[in-house]
Amino acid sequence: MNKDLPEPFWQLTPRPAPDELRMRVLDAVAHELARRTRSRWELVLECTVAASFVLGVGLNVWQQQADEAWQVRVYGPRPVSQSIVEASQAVTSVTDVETGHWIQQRLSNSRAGRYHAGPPWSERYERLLNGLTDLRSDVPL
Amino acid sequence: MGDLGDRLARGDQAAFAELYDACADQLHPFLVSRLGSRADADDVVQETFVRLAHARRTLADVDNLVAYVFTVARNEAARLLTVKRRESVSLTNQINAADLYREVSGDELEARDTAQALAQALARLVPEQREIVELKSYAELSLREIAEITGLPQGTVATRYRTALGHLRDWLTRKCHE
Repeated sequence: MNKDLPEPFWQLTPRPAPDELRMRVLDAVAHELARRTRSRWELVLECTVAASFVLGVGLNVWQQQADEAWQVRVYGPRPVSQSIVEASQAVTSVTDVETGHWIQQRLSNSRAGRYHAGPPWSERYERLLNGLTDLRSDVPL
Repeated sequence: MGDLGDRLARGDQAAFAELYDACADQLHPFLVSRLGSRADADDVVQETFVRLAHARRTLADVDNLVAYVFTVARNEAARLLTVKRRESVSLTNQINAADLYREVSGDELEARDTAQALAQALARLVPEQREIVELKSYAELSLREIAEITGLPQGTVATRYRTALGHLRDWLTRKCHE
């Protein structure tokens, strides 16, 4: 005990921590150390999976845009179908040129949307592959 | 201690055992005196070390690890007392001398009386003074370390300590004359 206190009092001995507490505390510490290590690895794994997913989505979008740009460059802008032209002309005849043009754009976009939403991804890739194969066969080795 | 701090930060279990051995016997009586219960003191010691293990990476930068352990334990004790107050558990200001001093369970009657008298005298101090006496008496920390733990200026700690000692001496002298 601290000797600032009057003499009989600093001769008192505070009771120490119980012996069994040491094991209990160190077990809890070991558990905490193990838990933290494992969860850190889990965190790293989760971050890697999430980053891979985001990267995959980003690459897919980029590839799609690049593919479309390439198709426009190679084949030119997408043609407007005859039925859309006729429909917009019919609208123009009963309204005005601006409305007819607007209708033509809306119909073209909705058809393009259907084209994108449809299944033929495999067809597009096949076409692209065929194009590349043709290009390769055109180039003398 | 710098090396110990680095080992703790790396999660070395032996380093935690070393830190426990360095401060448990001072920390435990301090917490018993704060909380009035050996079981609660056991829980707070355990929770303190779990928190240290949880935030171990910060320990490499701690200058005085013992003072840091006391700071964490003091906060944990305060948190437990707040929870108990919220749950309307009646808290006593009295200290059970048998929980604190070995002499109470010994054969010497005079030593038992002395221990009881000191426990009663401590219980009469205002909490701010009592905590400083507890940190100085049980933990044998310096006034600078106590200032670090409590967040008070060292001058304030010294003044409160001197005032508390004066109150203790007065009360114990009166008790002796009764």
